[in-house]
Amino acid sequence: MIPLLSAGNPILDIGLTHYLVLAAILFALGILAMVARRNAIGVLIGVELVLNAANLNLIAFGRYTDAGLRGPVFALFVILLAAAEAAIALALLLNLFERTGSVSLDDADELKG
Amino acid sequence: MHALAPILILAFPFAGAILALFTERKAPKATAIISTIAIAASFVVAALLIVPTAWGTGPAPLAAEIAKNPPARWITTGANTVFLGFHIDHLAAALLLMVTLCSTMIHVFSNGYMAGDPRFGAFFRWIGFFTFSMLGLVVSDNLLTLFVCWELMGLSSYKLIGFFYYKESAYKAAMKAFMTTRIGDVGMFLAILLLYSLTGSFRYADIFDFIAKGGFEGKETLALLASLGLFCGAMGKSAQFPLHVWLPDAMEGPTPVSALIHAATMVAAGVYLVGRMFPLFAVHPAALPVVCVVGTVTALFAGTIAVCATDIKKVLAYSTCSQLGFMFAALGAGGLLGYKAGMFHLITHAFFKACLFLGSGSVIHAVHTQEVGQMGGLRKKIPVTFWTWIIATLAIAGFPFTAGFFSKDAILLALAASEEGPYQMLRMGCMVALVGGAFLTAAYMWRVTALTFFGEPRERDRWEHAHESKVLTIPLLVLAVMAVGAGYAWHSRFLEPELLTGFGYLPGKWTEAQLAGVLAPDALAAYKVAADRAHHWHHTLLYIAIPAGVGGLAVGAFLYQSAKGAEVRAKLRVPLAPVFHVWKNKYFIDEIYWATFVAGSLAISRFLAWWDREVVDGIVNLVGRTGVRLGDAAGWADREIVDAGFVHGAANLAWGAGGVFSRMQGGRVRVYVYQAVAATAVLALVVAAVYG
Repeated sequence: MIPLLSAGNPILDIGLTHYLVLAAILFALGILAMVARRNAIGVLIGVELVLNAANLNLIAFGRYTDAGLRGPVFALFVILLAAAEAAIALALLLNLFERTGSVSLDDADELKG
Repeated sequence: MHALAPILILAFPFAGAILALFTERKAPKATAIISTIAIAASFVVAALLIVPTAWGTGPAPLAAEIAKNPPARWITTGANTVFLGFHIDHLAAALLLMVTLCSTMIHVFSNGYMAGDPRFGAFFRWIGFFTFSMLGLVVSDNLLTLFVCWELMGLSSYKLIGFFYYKESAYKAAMKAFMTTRIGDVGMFLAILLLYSLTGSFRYADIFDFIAKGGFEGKETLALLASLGLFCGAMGKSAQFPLHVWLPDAMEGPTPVSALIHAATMVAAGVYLVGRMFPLFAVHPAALPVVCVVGTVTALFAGTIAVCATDIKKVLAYSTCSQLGFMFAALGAGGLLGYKAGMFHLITHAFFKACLFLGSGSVIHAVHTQEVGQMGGLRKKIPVTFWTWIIATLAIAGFPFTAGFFSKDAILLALAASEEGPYQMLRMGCMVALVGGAFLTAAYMWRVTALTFFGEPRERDRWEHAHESKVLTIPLLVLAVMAVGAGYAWHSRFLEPELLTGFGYLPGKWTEAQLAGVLAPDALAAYKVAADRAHHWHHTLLYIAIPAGVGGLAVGAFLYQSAKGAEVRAKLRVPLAPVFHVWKNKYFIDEIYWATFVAGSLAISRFLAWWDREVVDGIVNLVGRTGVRLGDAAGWADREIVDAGFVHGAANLAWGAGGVFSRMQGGRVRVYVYQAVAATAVLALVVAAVYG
């Protein structure tokens, strides 16, 4: 009988797999937000979720494989990128709002084929 | 000082010619005098530095001195180097003396003869340069510089024969001389290259070494080719049948030029070349007989034309042709005697022919015509010219104790006493023919003498004004002395063949003990047999040669100076008319050349023009038309296939594809996200399938 919280339990002993599963769930949620939300702010939050899912993967790989510091360093870059991306995206949304009076993506369909 | 001799000899006339370039217009008289002094200086150098060594006993210090100076490097290509050097042996020494002396006399003569000519200075520039070229040819130690000087002489002769370039006949004669000699030069140059490819050197010494070491064993045919090639050049330069045609036409040049060409330079070069390369000619037994036969044919052929010529210079021109034939016949006899006799006649002939030509110049200067028909009785008006002319005529006719007597006797002796073998009878035949030639020489020379100097003046006006001057007669006197004195050169060391001792040609004056020192016993025996044969023939020939010469003179005198002779001539005129017709027209050689070579090359040119027009241009046009056709086809293909198919097709394809793909951009962001996720998923599956 293996104790519930003892080392060696493949389900409860926290390892790489747990992080990857968590990241996958986060990723899926992010994609869902991007697809399902009509509000542009919601889509933006979904993008942030996807990016953070990737970050989690990077750090987990850095911890559990011989990738070493390369994982966290990449995560740092992604955070920077995300900040930049958020700034640009919010600026776009402000402009969009000034033009159309809404942030609903259904109204922004002028570039369709 | 001795080592400098060849350079000095060349430097004087060359410097004179270069200086003349700057002075000839402003000071023509001074230019003439400087040129004359320059060539006289060359003569002094030749006489002071070369004669003592040539006449002395013991080893010649000159050759030793020059041998001390290594030849200069000229051209280095890869492992081969062409050297520049001097070679002065007895033969070269003899020729140097002859050339400088004749040329000096001709220069002095020209001071009087050419006076008043608008290009007086330029004339001296060219005769100086001509002499320089000949001297360069004589002193060079290799075939390449010999060839260069040979061609320089061709250039000078072209300029001098065409000196009166405003006369059509003069520039045509210059062109003819240049072209005819060039034909021979092609063969000569090929022969030089052949020798170079065999021996790897242009130098005589190396080539003779190659021969002496048996380099031609098994390759005698190549030696024959090389010697006949060289002989081609000699035939052109020395006007041997069938390349003799330029020499009579060369009379268009001023008379001193004729003297220079016929005595000191130009024609002497061909004979010198054969003499110089004598060991090469001796390699193949058939080479020298060819020389012998060509010489004999020319001697008779030109002699008969001279009988009918009425222009005093033309008679002398054909007599030169004929005498050169004698020289080649002598060389063709082979052996030491042949070599000596040929070179001996070259030197003696130079003096009496220069004397005759300058004499004819003096006559022309006196009466202003060249036609003997307009002369006559000049004996009393120009006595010095007359007497020197007589001496030179006796010399060329072979009158006893003149130079020509000794040299012609030597030629006949060389032919009669030639070595036994398949060609002995041929040489005997040549000897008999040349006795006839000697008779002809004497006869036509006395004919022209009689017509010019004896009898009654045929044109009184010309006769009245005839006169002669010192500047013209002094050279004549000097040359007349030499026309007699040069005969004694036979006994000097001049004609001893230094270069040839390695080939068994030995000086005649050696004692038996000396000979035994250098010859193997069987060679010594053969040498003795040859010497005995020569000794035996020597006396017999005197009974043939003297009557031939004297008889010719007597026949000439009888026919042209006695009443009975005039009758005989009148009687012979009709039956012999066809013969005279042929002789007067020079055997129609010029006409034959015109009909064959000139017309032939014109026909070839016409054919080539037709070929060019019809065939070559046809091909060009065909190519052009094909290009146009191809262009049409390409244009059609461009329009129909490229434009319609590819260009428009691509545009249409893009248009259609755009229509299809534009539907993917529906303006719904979520659709884009679906697409991105789906594409990523597909990509992930592919990656997993490939690497998983």
